[in-house]
Amino acid sequence: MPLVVRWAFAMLLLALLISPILPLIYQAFIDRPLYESDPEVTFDNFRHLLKDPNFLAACINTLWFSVIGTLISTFVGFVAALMLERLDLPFRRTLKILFLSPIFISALILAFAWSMLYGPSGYAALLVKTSLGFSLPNLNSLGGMSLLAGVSAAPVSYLFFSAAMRNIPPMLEDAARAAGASPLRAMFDIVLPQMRPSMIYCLLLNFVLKVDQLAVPLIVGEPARIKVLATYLYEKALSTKADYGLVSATAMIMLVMIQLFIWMQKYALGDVRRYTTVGGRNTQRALTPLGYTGWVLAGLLFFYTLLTTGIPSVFLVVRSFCSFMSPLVPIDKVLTLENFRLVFGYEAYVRSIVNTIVVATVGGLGAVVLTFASGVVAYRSPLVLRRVIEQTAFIPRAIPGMLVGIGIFYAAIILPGGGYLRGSLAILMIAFTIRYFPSGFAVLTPSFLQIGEDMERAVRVAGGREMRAIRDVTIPLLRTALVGCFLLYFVQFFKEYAAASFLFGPDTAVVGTTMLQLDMMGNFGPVAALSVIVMVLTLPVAVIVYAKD
Amino acid sequence: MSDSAVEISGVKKSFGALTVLDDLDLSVAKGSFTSLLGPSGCGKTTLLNIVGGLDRPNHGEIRLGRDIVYSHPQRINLPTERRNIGYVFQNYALWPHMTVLQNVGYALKIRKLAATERDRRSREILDKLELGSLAERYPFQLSGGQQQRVAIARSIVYQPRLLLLDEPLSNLDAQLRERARSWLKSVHESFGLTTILVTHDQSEALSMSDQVVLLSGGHIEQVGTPEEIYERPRTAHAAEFVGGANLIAGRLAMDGATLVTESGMAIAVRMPSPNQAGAPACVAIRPQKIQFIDSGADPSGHAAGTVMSFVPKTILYQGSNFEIVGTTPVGDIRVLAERAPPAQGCDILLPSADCLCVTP
Repeated sequence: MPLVVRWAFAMLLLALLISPILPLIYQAFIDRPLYESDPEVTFDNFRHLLKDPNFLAACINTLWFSVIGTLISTFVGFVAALMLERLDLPFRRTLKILFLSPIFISALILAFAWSMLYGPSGYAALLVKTSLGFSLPNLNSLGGMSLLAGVSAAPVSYLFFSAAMRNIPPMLEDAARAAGASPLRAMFDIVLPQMRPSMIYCLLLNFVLKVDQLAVPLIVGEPARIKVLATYLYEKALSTKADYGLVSATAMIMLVMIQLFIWMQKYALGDVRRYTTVGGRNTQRALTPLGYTGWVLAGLLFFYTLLTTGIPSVFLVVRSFCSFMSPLVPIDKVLTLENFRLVFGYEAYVRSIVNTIVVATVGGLGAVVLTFASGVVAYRSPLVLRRVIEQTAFIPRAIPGMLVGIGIFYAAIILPGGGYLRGSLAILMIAFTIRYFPSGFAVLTPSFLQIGEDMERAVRVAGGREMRAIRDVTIPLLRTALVGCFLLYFVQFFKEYAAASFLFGPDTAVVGTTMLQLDMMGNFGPVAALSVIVMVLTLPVAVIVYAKD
Repeated sequence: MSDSAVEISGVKKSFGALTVLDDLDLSVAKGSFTSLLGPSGCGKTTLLNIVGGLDRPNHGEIRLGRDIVYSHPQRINLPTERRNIGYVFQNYALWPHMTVLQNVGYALKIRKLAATERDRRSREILDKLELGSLAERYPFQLSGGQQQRVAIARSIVYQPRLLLLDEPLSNLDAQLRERARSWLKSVHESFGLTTILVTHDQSEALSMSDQVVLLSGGHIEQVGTPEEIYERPRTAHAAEFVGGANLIAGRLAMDGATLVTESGMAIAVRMPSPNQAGAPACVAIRPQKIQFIDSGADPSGHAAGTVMSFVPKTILYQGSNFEIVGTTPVGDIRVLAERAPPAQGCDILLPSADCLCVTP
């Protein structure tokens, strides 16, 4: 492949990945909708925004929600990683899968389950009140929202910390022990400081996730009229007479907030080489054996997973088979298949399920092809190009999913041929691909680095062309990673609703958007039924993706 | 007994069905420099880790000085941090988030020394090891040789009773290694610390130690001074591993001072073997001791020994000498000589004084 083609590819990738942001920036600084002619540059959008008391309240709420949620997620994830990666707990693997299960289930479904169970008029709240005589703390509050968002993101923090812990060579700890430090002391003086970069990066990632979080504020916050930036934006963008300028200005504020945090993270980290060990084989550290204490800790962890995900998901399944649920009504009186009949009987719902499957498989495959091509260009090209692709690939990390949706929508308005795109599933696939490209690229990169270039060079030496080398050597060697990458896209595309909210038309709804609409209308039975259908379709795949080791 | 720093008795270690150390006994004198020498997989690092408490044996007893630090029958296993030892890891394991000064001072901090005293002692040891100017640097800002020296400083600053070194020179390049060797020896001499070094490099072991422990397959092959190990190997394996001797298998003749090979050739050896006649044995002779002689030359013109024909197969020019492998009636023999033999072949002389009888 000539160098020109590679550069062209890199530039196209860059164009694709920044395509949601450009129209938003443009729109934020002009005085009329971006499809009208002769716009004038203005700061009025921001001026109007700052005058809106709702906006200021949403900003403050977002800050609290993000900070508390981030702290909860990081703390829980860290403690769980310490327990599950370092201690020899009974049923360690099972506990690990249980702990990770919120990622499989998605924040949207978890939010449904929590609000139906722990919400002010939820089953558990009523049960506690009637049998024990006191009320649960109100879930529909800033604290409740933060707790739910934190819990649903805790597995992400866990995965982060467990990877970081595995990368710290055990001999650093052994050296401290030889110098006279007790195991606990070595933990505090050596292991914890070593984890600082991942701790800071984890805080950043969580913060971005919280700013981006739509399901929790929408389902849990909205009933109590608690607005965050995400729901503010959601409402403004979806209202019938949407103010394009205001929406874009809000989007800018969100982006700046995230950029600020990223900059703080870089500043806090300093020279990262202080955290990388020079050389060294990485041996697996033996788990610390615990007797009786191990059972207690395992029990606590199990109780936590039961309370946060186990009981809510079981409840959701039961709820999907009931017309109504209350501790005051015996369950056999309300058992029914009506919810499923309703979902399958109404054509629009069935279509949204089919659409979701199509987007997840076709879109997922397309995304894998793009990711693979980017990998080839990045890791089989001069170093400059590699840096360009790597930098480009991670741009969407800093763009909230909703902004991808709105940005692509705007882009489709101004670009020629955008009309066709808007009416088809392709626009969803493009938006989802942009949104999850960094995760997919991150999955594929290590394998590319691992197999190295010499394998392909050997094919060239033997007389094969570059394409042949890729077909006969690279792809077979990368098969596991490619499958992993596809499954990741599949699961994420299946769960995505935030970006889709701004892009779907009458024929292109997906399950996530349908569930949100049903929930807004108070049809909890069908919501539960749809959630169960989504879980059945994605759980097996999700378990393979996240719990493979 | 009181002057031994380490006493290992009956130590066994196995991972499942794999036995790594088999019933080992070893004593290390106070203030001595002992090397554990052997090929990879012989159990030398495991033995070091067991002494240091980083690994736990399945059997036996270990004493450091008068203290029992491990005893299987008494169910004692003192954790590393309570053994008061210094340990230098193969990759140094410098804590990357601490400066050189903090790395060195950490053990003193654990021992609750006041900050000023801690700094004074850390700087003192850094100055002694000529590292004073690097005190404020982080490990990633050091060269390999500097890292190694910091690792040593870090493990001797608190005056441990024993210094354990796990192949500390193997990560340095060849030139640096030579210098580090004499530096390490001078450190040992000036601090007088009992030191145990693990290495697979025979010249490292021979040049630095007072005592060499040759390990193979989880047991001790031979213990002795460097001279003993090199000059008087007891087994074929010892002769081959230290000094790369040629081995010629055969059986002892009646006089005990001659070995008869399978092909029927008799080779005279330096010292009579105490073993019975007819017992299997090996002749070990180092490649540099073998001499080329012209065929049919006067036998009285050279030292007493065995003469056999030699046809060169490969000749490697190594600058200072030639390494020649050739065919003889007793199999292939490796010779190091200052000149190459004629291509059509010649005779070689195996001087009896250099032919050692070893057990196979």
